[in-house]
Amino acid sequence: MASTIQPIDLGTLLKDLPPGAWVALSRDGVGTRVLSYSADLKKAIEQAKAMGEAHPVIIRVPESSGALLL
Amino acid sequence: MWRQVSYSQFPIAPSPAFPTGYTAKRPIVQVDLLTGTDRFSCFGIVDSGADLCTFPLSFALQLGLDPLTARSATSSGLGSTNVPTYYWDIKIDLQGIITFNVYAGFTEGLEAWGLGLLGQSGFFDRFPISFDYRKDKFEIFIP
Repeated sequence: MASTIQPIDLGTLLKDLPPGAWVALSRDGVGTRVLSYSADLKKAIEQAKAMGEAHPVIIRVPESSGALLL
Repeated sequence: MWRQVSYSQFPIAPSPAFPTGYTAKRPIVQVDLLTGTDRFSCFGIVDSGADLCTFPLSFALQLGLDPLTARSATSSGLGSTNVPTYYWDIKIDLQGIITFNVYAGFTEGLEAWGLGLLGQSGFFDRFPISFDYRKDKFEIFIP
């Protein structure tokens, strides 16, 4: 039997944001939303903290919408 | 207990090689990196091809870690070779389910991606993982 880890629809959340931007997301699981974004990581975090999110979840918008090869 | 996770789906733009584009499914989980009382929340790709757990160097700086005092080595990935990577003992909190110790690397080589790699040493050696691409799910066994 398996339980579920909360999925976050990153593709949808990031799709209209500028490539390369650092994005601060809320931590509220379902309905996770973009709190702030900036070319500067520190600014994105500070803006999210100013909105009351002590530990925003950080990700970067891919520079390219091409394949990711690891 | 097995914990089921949906793949994150990313639309890939059309190109000469893929005229209609396609949807890439990536096994991504949200994790918190912990050092002492500091916490940094981010995402990691569950990547069996990565030797180690590795994150962008800027994440280490946000945690107050100083590369000048770290143990370092080089690492390589697609398009980059021998990139300096700095290592610290940290903890990873997997969505409040479990917190575990990891000797993790931090490198500028992952800055453009803005997310980490949950690799063999530190993640795959700790948790059985099962991928079911066709069902859009993967599972992590967390004792």
